[in-house]
Amino acid sequence: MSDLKSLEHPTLKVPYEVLNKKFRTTQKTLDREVSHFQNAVQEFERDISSDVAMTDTSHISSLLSGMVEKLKVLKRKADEGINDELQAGLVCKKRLEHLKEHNSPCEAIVKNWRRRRLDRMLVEYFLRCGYYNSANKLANNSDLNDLTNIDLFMISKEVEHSLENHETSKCLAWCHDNRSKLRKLRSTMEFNLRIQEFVELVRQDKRLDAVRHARKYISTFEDTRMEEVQQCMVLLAFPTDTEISPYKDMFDETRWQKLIEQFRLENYKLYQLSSQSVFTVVLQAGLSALKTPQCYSDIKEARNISCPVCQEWFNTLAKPLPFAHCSQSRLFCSISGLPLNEHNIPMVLPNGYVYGEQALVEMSNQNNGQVICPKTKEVYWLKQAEKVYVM
Amino acid sequence: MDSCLAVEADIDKLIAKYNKYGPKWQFQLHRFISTLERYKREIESQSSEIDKCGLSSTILQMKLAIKDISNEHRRWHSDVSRVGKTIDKNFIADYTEASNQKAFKTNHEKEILNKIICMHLYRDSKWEVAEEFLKEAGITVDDKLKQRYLNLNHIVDSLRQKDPMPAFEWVYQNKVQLDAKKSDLEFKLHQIVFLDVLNRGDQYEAVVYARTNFSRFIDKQKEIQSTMGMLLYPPNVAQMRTEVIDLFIKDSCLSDDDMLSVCVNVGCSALPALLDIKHAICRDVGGVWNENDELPIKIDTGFAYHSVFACPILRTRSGTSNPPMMLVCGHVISKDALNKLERSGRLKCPYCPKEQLPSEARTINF
Repeated sequence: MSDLKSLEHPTLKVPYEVLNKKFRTTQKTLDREVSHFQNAVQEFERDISSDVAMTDTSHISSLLSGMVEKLKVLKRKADEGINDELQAGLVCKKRLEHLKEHNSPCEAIVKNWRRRRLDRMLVEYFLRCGYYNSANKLANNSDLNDLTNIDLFMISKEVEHSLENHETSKCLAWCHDNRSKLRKLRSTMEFNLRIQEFVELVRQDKRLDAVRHARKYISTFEDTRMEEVQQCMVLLAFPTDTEISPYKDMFDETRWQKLIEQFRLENYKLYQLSSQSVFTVVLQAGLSALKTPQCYSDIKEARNISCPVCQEWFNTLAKPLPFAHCSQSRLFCSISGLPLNEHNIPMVLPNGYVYGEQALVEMSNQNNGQVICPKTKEVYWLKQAEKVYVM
Repeated sequence: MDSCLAVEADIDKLIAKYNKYGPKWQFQLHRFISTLERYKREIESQSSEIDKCGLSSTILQMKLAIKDISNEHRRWHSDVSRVGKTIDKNFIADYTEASNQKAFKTNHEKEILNKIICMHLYRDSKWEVAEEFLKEAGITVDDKLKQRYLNLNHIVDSLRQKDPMPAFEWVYQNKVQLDAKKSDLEFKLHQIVFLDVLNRGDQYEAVVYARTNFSRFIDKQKEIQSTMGMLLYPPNVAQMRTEVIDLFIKDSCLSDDDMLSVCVNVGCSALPALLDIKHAICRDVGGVWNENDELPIKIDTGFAYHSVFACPILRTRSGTSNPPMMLVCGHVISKDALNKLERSGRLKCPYCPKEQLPSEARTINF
């Protein structure tokens, strides 16, 4: 399994969902405009068969211009619709072109590709965290607007913002826009919004309005969410500062925050986005794969300045993660960084530290046959070092 | 790669249809409109007898043709949804299976993560993005660190603008560290200046520059040769400039690689394997990540920062409680294995005939 396969699903699936949506909209528009034209044609056919109308040229001419109008609208809408779909398709295509660079034989291209991949991941991470300006800047800076799902998140930014201001209209419009899909996901988004509206009406002591609201919007949910509906109706009987749960909770302002969270999750689901960003998932995997017990060793010298997990910040992040798996020894000389093998035999000093033969010999040549253990600063003769056999 | 090609084939088919039918329909509709308008003009001018039959049959034809537009478009539904299915088939929707949902969720961890990202942005000379990010994420970083990066940023910008002076200045200030690292930076900077002079078309001046500056780099015979060869074969200067900038960024920072990139790239190559193993072994067992203190499989990271000793007998990694032990014959096994192999106070090396007392084994450190 390649990294493209396991990581790039959202890169392609989101523009596909956009394409799919555009396709449906175009189909609806076409059907509507075509039927308008058909109606005009029917009217024409009916009138033309009666001879009376035929003598009245102005009537026919107006029928004809009616048809021309319909055709013009159809022509314009078809053009727009097909173009929308084509653009959505081209976004998919562009992303595929980008992904294909991953397998380029040229190393510089792959390196650059990886760099941009990290940027893409960061943009997505920013968006998920709500750092929209940073995401925008980074996407512009690295020319990633077509390669990241930034548009999708910008729409959700507006909705989230309106929910923060305790407005439901934008989110309801969103529910309406994606009704059929949300129904398939058994979403409770709309229901919860309606309940919240009801709660707000009660809070403002407009209880009659609340009842009217409930009759209009909430009664449709009777078969699936009876219990919650009942609970909600009970609010009518309680003061807004009630201490009795669950009614106290329903008046809680934090319910808006929950609505935002629910909206985010459902929006992810709608486009099949995972609940976690690629960035954090990949970072976890990377930290784990690099994590060794030495990174947490009490002996400072065991740490490696080049090792990410040995750095303070990464070290903290990696703490709860598992260590890398190791069933075979992988040994290096900590002086030269070279692997220890038959060409660079591991040698143990009397203090128990093992180094490569090459590094020890070089050191002794510069030091009149003596070696200094870099870790304990003890001084030995080279001949005191013994060969070590590691299977 | 195959997965990309599969999706691409489907999307190409669809795009071809848009390109074919879009203009075709526009043309067709345009023709219909002008036909009807012509009829209309004829009727209005009443110059001739209305061709009732002709008009009716034309309109009937139009009716069918137009019905066909929406029908044709509807037929594309299968093409559209095939793209989606191919994506689902060839790419994995849920990459979170092999990760710990709770990781990086505490505020403290989030803050650290954001700081790491910020440093990465500084390092990547994305100064503006970093500033905006600091603001939005509500984090602060050490001013000294920031100043340092600001300075480095200035040097990188100047390099991009073909002004190497700040970079040379920095090189002279940090000569000791650079020499200790055996850095090529100074030479590469001279090289790019040489090429810039050359690209201005002034070959004589370029040669003079080479004579004054290259002669000091005695140990770089090969590089000087190839640089002078560039008088004959003009290289891709833009790419070399990026390389020099990368080298500068690398040499001017504390560590060799950008840590975040290293982690992420390793993670990208590790994740597919982890997902695979998750699918294969622990479908119903809880997280691969939570319970074990070790990943279930070996990941080849391409980076090796630490020596790891795995006991050849027990096939487990050694640790502080289970250190590697060297027997008198020089063979190394883990302490746990040594305890297991002990028979009534004697120990025979599993690799050679040598026998010894368990207490004669020595703890060693790699």
